[in-house]
Amino acid sequence: MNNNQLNESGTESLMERALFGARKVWVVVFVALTAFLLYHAAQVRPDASFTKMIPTNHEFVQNYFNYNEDLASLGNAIRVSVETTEGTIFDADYQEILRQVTDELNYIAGVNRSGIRSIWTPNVRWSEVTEEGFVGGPVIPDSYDASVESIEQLRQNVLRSGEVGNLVANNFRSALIYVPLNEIDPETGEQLDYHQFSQRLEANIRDKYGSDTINIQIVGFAKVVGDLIDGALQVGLFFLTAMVITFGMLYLYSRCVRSSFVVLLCSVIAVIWQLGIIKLIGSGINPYSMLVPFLVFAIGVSHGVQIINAVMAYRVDGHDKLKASRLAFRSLYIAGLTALASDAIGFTTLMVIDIQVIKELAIAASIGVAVIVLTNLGLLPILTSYFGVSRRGVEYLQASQKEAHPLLKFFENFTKPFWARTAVAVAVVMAVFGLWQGQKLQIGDLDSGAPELRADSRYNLDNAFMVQNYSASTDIFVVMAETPPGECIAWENMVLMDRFQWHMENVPGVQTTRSITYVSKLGMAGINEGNLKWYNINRDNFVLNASISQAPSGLMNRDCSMAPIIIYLNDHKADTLNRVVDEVRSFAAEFPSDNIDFLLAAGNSGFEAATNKVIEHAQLEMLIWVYGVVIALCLITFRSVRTVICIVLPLMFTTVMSQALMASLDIGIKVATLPVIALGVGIGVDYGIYIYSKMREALAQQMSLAESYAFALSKTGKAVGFTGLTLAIGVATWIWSPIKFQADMGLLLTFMFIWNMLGALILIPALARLLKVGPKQATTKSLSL
Amino acid sequence: MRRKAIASALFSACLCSVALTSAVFAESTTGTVSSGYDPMTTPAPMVANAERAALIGLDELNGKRVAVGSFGTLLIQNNDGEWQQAEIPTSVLLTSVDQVSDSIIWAAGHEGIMLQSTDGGVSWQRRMDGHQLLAMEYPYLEQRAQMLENAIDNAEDEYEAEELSFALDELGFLMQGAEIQFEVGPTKPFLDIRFLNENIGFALAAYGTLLRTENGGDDWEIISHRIENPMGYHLNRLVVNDNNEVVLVGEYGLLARSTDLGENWETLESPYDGSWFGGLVDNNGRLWVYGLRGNVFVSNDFGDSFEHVQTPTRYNLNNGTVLENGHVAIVGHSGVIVVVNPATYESVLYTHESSTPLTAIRQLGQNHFLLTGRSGVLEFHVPVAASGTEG
Repeated sequence: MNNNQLNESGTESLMERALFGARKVWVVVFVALTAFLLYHAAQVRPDASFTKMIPTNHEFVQNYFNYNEDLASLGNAIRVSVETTEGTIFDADYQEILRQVTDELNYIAGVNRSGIRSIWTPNVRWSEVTEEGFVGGPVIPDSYDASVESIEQLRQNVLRSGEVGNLVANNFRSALIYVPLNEIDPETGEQLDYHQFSQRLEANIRDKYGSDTINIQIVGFAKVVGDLIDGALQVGLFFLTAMVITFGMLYLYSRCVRSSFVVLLCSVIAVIWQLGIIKLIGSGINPYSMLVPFLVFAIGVSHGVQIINAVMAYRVDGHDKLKASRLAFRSLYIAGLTALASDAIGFTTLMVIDIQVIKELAIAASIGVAVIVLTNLGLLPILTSYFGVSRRGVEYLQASQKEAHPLLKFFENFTKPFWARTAVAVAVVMAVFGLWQGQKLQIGDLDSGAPELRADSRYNLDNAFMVQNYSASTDIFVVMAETPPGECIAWENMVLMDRFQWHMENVPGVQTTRSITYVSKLGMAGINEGNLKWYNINRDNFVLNASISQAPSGLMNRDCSMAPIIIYLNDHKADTLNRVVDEVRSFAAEFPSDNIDFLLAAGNSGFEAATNKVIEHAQLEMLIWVYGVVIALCLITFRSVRTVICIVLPLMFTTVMSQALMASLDIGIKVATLPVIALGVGIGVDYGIYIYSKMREALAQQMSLAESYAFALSKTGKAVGFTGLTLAIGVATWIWSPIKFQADMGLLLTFMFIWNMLGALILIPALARLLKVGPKQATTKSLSL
Repeated sequence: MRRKAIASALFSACLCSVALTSAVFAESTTGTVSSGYDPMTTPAPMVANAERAALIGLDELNGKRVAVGSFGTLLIQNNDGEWQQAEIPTSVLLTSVDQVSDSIIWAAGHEGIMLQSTDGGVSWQRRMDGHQLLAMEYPYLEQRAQMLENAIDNAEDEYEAEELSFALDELGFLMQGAEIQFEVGPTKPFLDIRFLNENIGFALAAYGTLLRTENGGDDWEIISHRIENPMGYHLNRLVVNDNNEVVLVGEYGLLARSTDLGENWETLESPYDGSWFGGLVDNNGRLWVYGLRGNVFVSNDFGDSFEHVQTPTRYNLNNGTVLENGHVAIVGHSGVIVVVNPATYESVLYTHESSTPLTAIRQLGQNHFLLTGRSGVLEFHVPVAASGTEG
């Protein structure tokens, strides 16, 4: 430790004087602020607002916002299926349960009661053409008394109601209840609480009516959101796990309970502050930005370790606890600030993605990093100046300083020419493989059902059940046919919409389409006794109006200036969505009209298409920004192109390999995974900065490359290894999240943190060797890193 | 009844006032710059899934099958069973197709469209459209009105005059329908086209319009008045037997027969008041007619008398064919397939799993059928342990 005089020779800075000059005041201030922010942090609730998850400034979403009230009946509804495992639905006991479930749903807050449809609601009717004209009635016979006769009558009515495949499963073993929701309560004006709503569905419907013979399936956006929030709450438990594991690792690293606890405390305080500030600025926490407390905690711990490490080193040198803390602060605050600045800038580049949840994540992460500066660079040395470190820790450090760790010895090999060439050659081969594999990387979500949740989640099992037993896809793409007011059902518009739908039905990946034109054509046949020879859009507007007189609501808006065209897709893969978007546009180009605009797009697949476009566009932009920032930062710090190459190439290698990993695990580039790439680079560069700054210190003293690297390893190798593992563990717990995208984020971040660490330890010395980095004149000593 | 209700609402809305009618329609269409898209004149889209178009008509001659349907779709089945879409100069719903010979094929559809191919379906020409039909029909109606007015003037008694003026009122409705078409464009669909040979053919249309040609479609003559149909019921299908005798089936039990190539027609006494959608002649020369609510009747004397065939369905029956074993298969709504033994009139009901409305059936093999319907081309295999289900 004879190089410590480099740091000790630094003078007392203004900041150090301000901090240590009024230690007690600062402690009081920190305690007060923590109490205040804890109060606010405790009120943070995860939310999953729909509009925050989509790119609200994208043309598609803007178009949707213009008509979102008119499209409401298409959108926010849940479907509750009641399945019998014995026999069919034509059974008195089953029907009694179906009736009760239908009634019960009426009493759940948030339900739009007038819109509920099931075979037990009077708005579900059968009709048929007879010699006398149309006859019909409610599907449930007026005289229903659970007798064999009335069950048989019910069966007849169901068969001629046209609801098989809609409200009644194709195999007659289940029937469903369609439940539209009010996003805003019409009486109280309050926003629907999705979490509470979802819990009520579980308690009052699934738990109450589910049995050995009755299964309840529930699907719909509200249920997805409810399940997401449930899952997010579970993730809270992961935080405790991460804390326990981290404490264990801190102890193994320092063998000092006292300092381990202090580091943990400061990091938890950082999280509390971050959450409290988020609450105060009116921002929320969503299932994406939930990652931030984990990152803040892990980054806090890794910087805290640097402080503790330094404090102990100065204790070994014989300073008292106050002096050791002051020296530790003095030697580390610039390096810490630089590393944290790079983290923060890395996070800020996420702002180029115009999706609110990602922006919230970027803001939350930036706040978190700023807070760490205060808690772990400011509060932590103050605390150590009071509590000191245990004798046992100091002795452990003293003992371990005598001999480098064998693992660190191993990494020293990579400054040797053969090892360096081999390492770089292996990396090149892997990178080429990674690039080749990465070509298969797709934009967007690839899994069926609700991709936010796991494939084997209750929701996705329910969703698969619906897709299998009922005749409607859950991947819905809505095109809004916009006309001048009053003309949405004019013949020339209807006939063009009709052709548009046929055009779309011939696009691979499209199952079928529905709109007012379909109702009109069925109505035309209906007017003519069901004769299919009339199944077309009639040129005569009076006849046309008659054909849609019985049209269900929601197929046009109030002033008849917009008619939604619903396109059912096989899946929501990016290729499918791109094709649909392209075909909509090519049709509009082929049949230009002053009178009708085929506006893109609503429906879950429409929003996904918009999100994909934004992500696709932002992907390259974000990479350019994050790498531009990192390269600029390294250039400013080290003023050497060769150094930048040594630090940045391993990062790029990690980026390539993580994209290959995503491709091979079928994880697409999406709202959840795009930020991970920026986070990985932003945080990953820390290792390079730590290692290279120590190497440069030694090189400046005319040490050889091998000696310099050995010096850097002895100084920071352990800390780098520890940091990598801490960060990895902080996010690795996410791999067990019930939310699929959180698991994806956790997996990728874990991979990137570990890979970046190994890349820094192996490739930096190897590249330095190949680029012939060697001892040089000590001209840049002024930077006291 | 429904149609009639709407028709009368329509006519009362613009009662006796063509000017008012024009004003109403002008209002609903003025100020709108046309999209330029007119399905009547725009060629049919050539698409990947033409077999999924709603297919309304199917005809088979010497093993070659031709099907027609929505968006001007016309499909020809080649030797290896593949369906090829032909290029068609219109996008209207085609309702009917008739192969007169291996080379001459006629098809017809909405908005007064008639199409002809003289090369076995490779290329198609438009032979009539709604504007031409209207240009024929309006003077025809005027002439009929004039004749009726004259007849009323010369009526022998009040009773006859009342009958004639009643007929004149009905004719007035038809004329107003034609006037509306002048305003909004021609809407009247052909519902069937059928040729007895290369020269003589008939085109059946909505609201009682019947056309006949003697020169292979070069000239068409309106002969609606030869059929007693004062209310202008739809003419749905022409059934032809081996002697080129024809029976025309239509709305509200309309049955009319001609044994002289369409020169003279006699109205038959219908065994059922509901609409007929189709008919066929079986291997024994018996006439089968079928229609609304599962009704099937058989005549041994080509329409003079009928016997009722009990069927296990109440769905509309649209079209049928004679199977290899002589049984008659009739398809209808909700995917129903009724197979009747002509000896016993016992019938079996099958239901295609899609429950889609069916428009035609042909036998592909034993217990294996080709179907067309609203969902396009379908196939059906009779289940091994075939049992009828309630329809």
